[in-house]
Amino acid sequence: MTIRRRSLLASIPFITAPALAVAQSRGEPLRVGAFGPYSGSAAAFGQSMREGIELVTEARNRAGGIRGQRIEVTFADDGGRPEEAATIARRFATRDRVLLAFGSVSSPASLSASQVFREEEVPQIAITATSQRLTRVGNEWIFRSTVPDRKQVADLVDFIAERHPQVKRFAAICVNDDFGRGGVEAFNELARAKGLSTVAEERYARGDIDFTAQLTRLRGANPDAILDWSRYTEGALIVRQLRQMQSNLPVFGSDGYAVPAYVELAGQAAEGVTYVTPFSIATAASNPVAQRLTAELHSAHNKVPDGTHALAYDAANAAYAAIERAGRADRRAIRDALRQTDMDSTRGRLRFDQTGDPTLVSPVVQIRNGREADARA
Amino acid sequence: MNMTALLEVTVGGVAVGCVYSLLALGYSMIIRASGIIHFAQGEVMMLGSMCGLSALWVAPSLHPALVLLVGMLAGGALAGAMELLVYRTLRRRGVPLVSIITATVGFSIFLMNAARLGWGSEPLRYPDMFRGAVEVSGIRISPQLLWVAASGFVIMVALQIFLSKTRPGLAMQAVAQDPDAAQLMGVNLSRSMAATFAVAGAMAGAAGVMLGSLFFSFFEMGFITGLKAFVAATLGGLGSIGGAMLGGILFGLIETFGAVFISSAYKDAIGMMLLIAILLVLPQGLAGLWRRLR
Repeated sequence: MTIRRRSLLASIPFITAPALAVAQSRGEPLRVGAFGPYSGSAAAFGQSMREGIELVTEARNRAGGIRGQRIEVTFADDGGRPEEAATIARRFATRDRVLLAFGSVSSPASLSASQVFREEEVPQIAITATSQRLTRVGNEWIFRSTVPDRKQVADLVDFIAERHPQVKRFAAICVNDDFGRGGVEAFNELARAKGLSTVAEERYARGDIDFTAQLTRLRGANPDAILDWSRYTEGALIVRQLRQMQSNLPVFGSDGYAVPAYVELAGQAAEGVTYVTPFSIATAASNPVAQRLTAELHSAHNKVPDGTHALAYDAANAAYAAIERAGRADRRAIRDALRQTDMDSTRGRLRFDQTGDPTLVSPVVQIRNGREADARA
Repeated sequence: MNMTALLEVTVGGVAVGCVYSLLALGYSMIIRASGIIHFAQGEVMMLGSMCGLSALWVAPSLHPALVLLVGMLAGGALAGAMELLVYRTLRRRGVPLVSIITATVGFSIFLMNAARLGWGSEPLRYPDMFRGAVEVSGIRISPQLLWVAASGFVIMVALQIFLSKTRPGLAMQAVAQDPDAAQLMGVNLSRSMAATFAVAGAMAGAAGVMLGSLFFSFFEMGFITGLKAFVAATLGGLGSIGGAMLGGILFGLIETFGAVFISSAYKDAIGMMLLIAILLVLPQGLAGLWRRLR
């Protein structure tokens, strides 16, 4: 599907129609919007998100659409920029008159769009944005497919307390930004409740490559394990340098590791590293929805699903089911139907809580023989 | 801090310092010979790193010394070509020095984008060229770090011999000190200048292979490293060969120890503040101190 061209009719300012009850009669397509970074440094995530949504949309349309109406997705590139995302949100709401919007990949872009969608009363499903704040501002129009960051940390802490009771003292390292600091702060708080402690904490600037100093200080505190809240590039360097220092300390990491490039970059040093992730094909092997996604993605793009594919796939399935249940092309009815979601997803039973977050437990995986394996198994 | 950690941090600092030294040498040689601050030096390093990596892709069992050589040849050829094809023409047309320096910034950005086109925008890992650990009086040290430090020293010693004992090396020194006198003595100025760029590029290429094997190869890797090496060259005294070597290693150690003892999150800031402090005390850098002591 290509990005829909601006039609003459759609460019006429939309003044008189009420924002809520958007008339979309039979025969006319049901319009939804999807915005993400289709260019720039996060373009790979945008691409996966798009593929996931397209798979569901095409399958639905082949099976006759929703109540005989075709679904038409308008894709828009926010380049990962919050200001662009807000502009797109306004355009989706007023000119494209979408019933619902998917997006975005990053938290800042999702958040800035969510303010517009809230004002315009358009249901939004954020895909991979993990920032806690997104769903905690009393916005009734936001949902999210991924498990938020704090819940991921909680799931990792639970896992450690259950499966590694001998690991008590953590030395934490993180990137010095919201993602890294937020992860370690949440860990400190949640770990204390389980009797775990953080005995040393180090930060680094994004893009750093030499972590000798930080790792030396961390090891000096004599911890049982390293907690690393990094993205995959720095995370791979950290574990490599740690192993170069001849340290065998176990490493527990964030969902920032959950891309194939992490193992590629860390090589042998990645063996045994354990991290929390929103989705892993390793833990979803016996899940029928994940199997369907794997088969569809293989035949359409000859790819293996990544986390973003799965999150987008689940979001689109939930959205189309909600549009069907709502019974009419009305944004408020669709939002209320979304809140009633209870379906099988690639990650198990998917429901949304009152804030719009999914009630799922994050998979925890461990790298074994260069691949993700279910750490709980 | 115990002995093991102290040794690890020292070797790590020296290894990174050697990379800065090799790059700083290139800055200093080019400045001395032509007055140009060659801001594309970091990107020459990056392309040396990429070429060394590509050689390893083609021949996975290539000896580390040969990988280094590939990086040096690539860096040398690139910098030499830049001088012959662009900088020389600019000088002959009477373009002011400041504009030529601006052109080197342009080259830096162009090379970065060319590398992104050729090698992609994701970091690339060097295959492990060494395995296991080396024991030094009971303390185990990564062979990668030792290799980088050792090759850095060997290359710098070789450069000293080249500059002080061979005819082309002596010619380069002569051109740097007094181009007119050198020309009167029969030195071919434009050939000697191209040779200076090529040698500086080879140093950068070697630095690229070292940095790549320690960390990653990445199209943006030359930017901040190049900037730090320039700072190291300034610390040593711009235009001084010995100063550049010492300045690089000193900067690597200051940066690493500063991160261990002061703050790791603001390690770059500490290095730069120290540089400003040192320049306030020693305006000519370490080379100036050396001259004053003599």
